[in-house]
Amino acid sequence: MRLKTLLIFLFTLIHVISFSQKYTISGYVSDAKSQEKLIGATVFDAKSKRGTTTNTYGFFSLTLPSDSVTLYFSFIGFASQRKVFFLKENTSMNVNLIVDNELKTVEVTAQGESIEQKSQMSTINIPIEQMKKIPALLGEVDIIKVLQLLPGVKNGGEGSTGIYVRGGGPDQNLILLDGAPIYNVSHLFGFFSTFNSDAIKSVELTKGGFPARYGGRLSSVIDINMKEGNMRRYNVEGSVGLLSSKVMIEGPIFKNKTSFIVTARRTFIDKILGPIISASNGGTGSFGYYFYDLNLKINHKFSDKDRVFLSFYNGLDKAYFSTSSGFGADSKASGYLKWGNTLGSARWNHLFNSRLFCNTNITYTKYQFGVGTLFEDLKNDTKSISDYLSGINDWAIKTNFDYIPSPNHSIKFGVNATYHTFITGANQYKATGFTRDTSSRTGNPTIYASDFNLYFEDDWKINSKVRINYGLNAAGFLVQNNFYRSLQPRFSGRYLLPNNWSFKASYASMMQFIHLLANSNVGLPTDLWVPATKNIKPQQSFQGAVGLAKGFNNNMYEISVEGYYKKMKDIIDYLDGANFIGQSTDWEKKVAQGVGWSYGGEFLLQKKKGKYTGWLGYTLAWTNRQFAEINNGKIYPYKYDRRHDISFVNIYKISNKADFALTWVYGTGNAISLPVQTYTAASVINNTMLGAITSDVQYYSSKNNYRMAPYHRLDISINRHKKKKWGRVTWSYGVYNVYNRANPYFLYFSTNTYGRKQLTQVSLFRFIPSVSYSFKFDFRNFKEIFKDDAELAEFENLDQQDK
Amino acid sequence: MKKNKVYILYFLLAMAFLFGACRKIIDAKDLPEQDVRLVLNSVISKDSSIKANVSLSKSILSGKDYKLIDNATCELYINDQYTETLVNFKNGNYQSTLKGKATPNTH
Repeated sequence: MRLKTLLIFLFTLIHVISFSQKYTISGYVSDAKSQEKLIGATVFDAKSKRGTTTNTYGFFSLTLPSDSVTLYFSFIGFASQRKVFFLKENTSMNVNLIVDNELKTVEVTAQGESIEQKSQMSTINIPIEQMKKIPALLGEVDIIKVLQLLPGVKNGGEGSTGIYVRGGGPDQNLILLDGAPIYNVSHLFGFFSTFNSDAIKSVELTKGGFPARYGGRLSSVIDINMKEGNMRRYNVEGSVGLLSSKVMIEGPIFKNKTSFIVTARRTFIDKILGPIISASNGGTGSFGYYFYDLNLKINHKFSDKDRVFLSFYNGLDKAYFSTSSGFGADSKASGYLKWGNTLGSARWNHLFNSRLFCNTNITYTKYQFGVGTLFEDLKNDTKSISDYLSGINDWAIKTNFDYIPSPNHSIKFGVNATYHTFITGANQYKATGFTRDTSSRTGNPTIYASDFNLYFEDDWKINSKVRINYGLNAAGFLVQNNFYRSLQPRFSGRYLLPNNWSFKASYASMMQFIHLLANSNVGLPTDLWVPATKNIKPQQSFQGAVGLAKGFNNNMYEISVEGYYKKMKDIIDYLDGANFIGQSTDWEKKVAQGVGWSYGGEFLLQKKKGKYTGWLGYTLAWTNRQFAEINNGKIYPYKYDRRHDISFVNIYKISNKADFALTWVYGTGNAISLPVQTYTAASVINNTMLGAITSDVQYYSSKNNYRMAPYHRLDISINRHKKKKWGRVTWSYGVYNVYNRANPYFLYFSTNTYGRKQLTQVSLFRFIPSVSYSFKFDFRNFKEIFKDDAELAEFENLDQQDK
Repeated sequence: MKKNKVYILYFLLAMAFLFGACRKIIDAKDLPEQDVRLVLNSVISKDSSIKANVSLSKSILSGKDYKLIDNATCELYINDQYTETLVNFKNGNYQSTLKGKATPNTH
C-alpha cells in the first residue's frame, strides 16, 4: 500500500517535472553588418513574458518551459527581430540585428527591457553614435566630456577631463578600457581625454548602487569597451581636425573567425608651430608638443564556445625643447616632459554550457610621468642627464562567471588579484664624460602592493513586481606588511508601480585602497597615485539612493528621478598650504584624512530614438568636507560643490545628409579660497623690529569661502554627409561657447595702473569655431567575402537601404 | 626640481596663449567681508627690550596703508603674571623696560 502511494507520488512528481520541463536558449546577439557583439540587447519571450539581456560579450541565456515561444531580439538603433519556434530541446542561436534606418518602416515591436524593469539604478549608457554627434571643443569628440553632461557628473572646470561623480574626487572613478583600469585619461594637460571615439563600442557609467562585481573605487565605474573589428568586411575611416587627425582600419583576418581593428590618432600642433618657433629664435632652439594614441584589438572565435580578445592601448603626450643659446659655443641643453598610459588585456570567453559563461582576463596597465633635462658639452664630450619619474603599473588576473540557472536568477561571481607597483617620485642623475662619472638615484621608495577581490551577485526576479540585485564584494589589500580588508554589501532593487513606473532603491558600500595626490588647482599629469599605507588608511564610502523610473512610447523616452546620500570616510586632502607640483617627499605628512558628504537629487529625461534625440538633465546637490587639520576642523564646501547643474543636449537628424546638434550647460560656480584681508608681519633686522611695514600676510576667512561666477555655455555643431563612389565623407562644423561667455577659469588679485587692487578673472575658451573632415571607405567586394547566397542577399538589401 | 616647475608653468602659459585666454576685472562685492582685526606683532630677543607693534588688518582690495594704533594698551604678562605696560613710541610701536633673557636649554 505504502509502495503504491509512493509510486503515485513519484509519478505525479515526474508528471509535474515533465509538465514544466525547461530548456535553455542561448547564444550571441550581433550587428548583422559587422558582427560586432551587442551589449545589453534584449531577448524577450512575448508568450511567457520572460526575458533577459546580453552581457558584455553579447551572450544571452534564457531558460523557458517547453512550449511554443515567440522571441523578440531588440537593441536601440536596430530593427527588432522575431523568432517563433517550438522549444523542445536546449537551443543555441546566434542572432544578427540590422541597423534601423529611420526611413524604413520597421515594425517596432520592441518589448525591450525598459528602464523600469531593471533592478539596477544610477546607470546610464550613451550610444557611441550619439556621442559623436554632440558638439565638441575644437571638433575633437570626447567621450569623457559627454559623460560630464549627465546628471550627477561634474567637470573640473573649463575644458577639463576631470570627472566628479556625486561629490567624489577625480581619483574615485574606476575607468576600465576592455577590463583594464586606466589611471590618467588626460591628453594636453587634461583638456582632452585619451579615448579615440572611433575605437570605442560602448560606454556605461555607474554612479551608485554598484553591483558587487565592481570594486576598488568610491564614486563611479566607467566601463568602456573597444570595438571588436568587422568580421565580414574591411572598413577604413579617418578624419582630419584642427587638433588631431586619426585613422581607423578594421576587417576580417579570417572571415567570420578572426577580426582586427586598429585606430591611431595624433596631433600635429608641433609640425605647424615648430618651424615658426624655430624661426623666431634664429634656429638656435626648438620647442614642440604632441600627443598620440593607438588602439589595437584582435578577436578570434575558436567556436561558439570559445573566443579570445586581445586589446592594446598606448598613448603619449610629450613636450620638448632644445636650445644652444646661452650655454657657450659647443654646448646644448634639451629637455622633455611626457606622460602616457600603456595597457594590454587578453580575454578568453568560454561557454561551459548554455547556462554558464566564463570570462578570464589578464591585464597590464601602466601610467608614467617623466620630466628631464640633458646638458651636452660637445667639445669635451660630457653629458649630464637628470630625470624625474613617477607612475603606477598593475598586473591583474580576473575570472568572472555568469550563471543563469533559471529566468528568474542571473548570477555573477568571480575572483581577481592585482599586483601594483607605485613609483612615487624618483630622481635619477647621470653624468658621463667627466674624469669621474656619477650616477645616482634619490627620491621616494617604490611601493609594492597586492589587491584581492572576491564577489558574488544575483539578479533575482522575485515576482512580477519585485526584482532585486544583491551581492557581496570581499576585498583585501596587502601593503608594507599591513593587510586591509573589507566586506562590502551591495543591493539594488525595483518595485513595479502602476502605469509603468517603478520605484527603485539601492545601497552600496565601497572601499578604495589607492589615493591620488593632485595639485588642488589644475589636473596635471604630475598627479601622483599612492597606495594606502601603514599611516594612510584606505578611503571608504556608503551610498544609498531611491528613485522613480519609467520608459514610455516603446522606450523612446526614459525618465528617471533619483535622490542619494553618500558619506565618504578617510578621503585625503592637502594640509593648508601644501602642494604637490613636481614631486612630493614625505607625502604622508602633507595630507590629512577626513570625511565628506554629498547628497542631492538628479533628474534625467532622455529621448533615445527617432529623428530627434537628446536629454535634459538637472542636478541639485550639496557636497561638504571636514578634516580635523584643515579649516580649523570646521566643515567647508568641496571645491566642486555645485548646487545647480543643468545640461540640455539636442541632436536632430535633418536628413540622411545632415544632422544638427546643440548643447547648453549651466553650473553653479566652483568654491575657491580667496584671501579677504591682509595684515602686517613683523619685519626684524638685526634683532630690531622695524616700525615700517614691509610685508603683507594674506588672511583667508575660511576654506573655499568664495563662489566663482556660474558657468554656462552653448555649443552647436552641424555634420554634413556626402556619399561618394568610394564611401562617405562628413564635414563637421562647430562652435564652442556660441554667445562668447567669459566663464571663470581662475581668479587672482592684481593692481591696476592707479595702484588700485582688483579681483581679476581669467577665462579660457571663448567662441571657438572648428571644422573637421572625415571619410569612410567602403570595400564592397561582397562576392569574394560572402559565399553564402542568402547572406549576400541580406547584405545587398542592407546596401539598398543605405542608399 | 625647481626647473621642472618652471617648465610646467611654461607649458601652461603656452596653452593659455594658444587658446587665447582673456582677463576681466570682476566685481568683488560678494567677497566675504570681515571686520578689521587688531594685529599684534612682537619680538623678544636677548639683551634688548621687548618690542611690539599694533596695527589693523585691512581688506584685500584696500590700497591704503595699514592703520597703526598708538592708543592701545599693551600689557606684558610673564607666566600669566602681569608685569608691566609697554610704552608707545608712535607708528604703532611699543617697548618694554625689560630685556629678553636667554633661558638654559631644557632638553
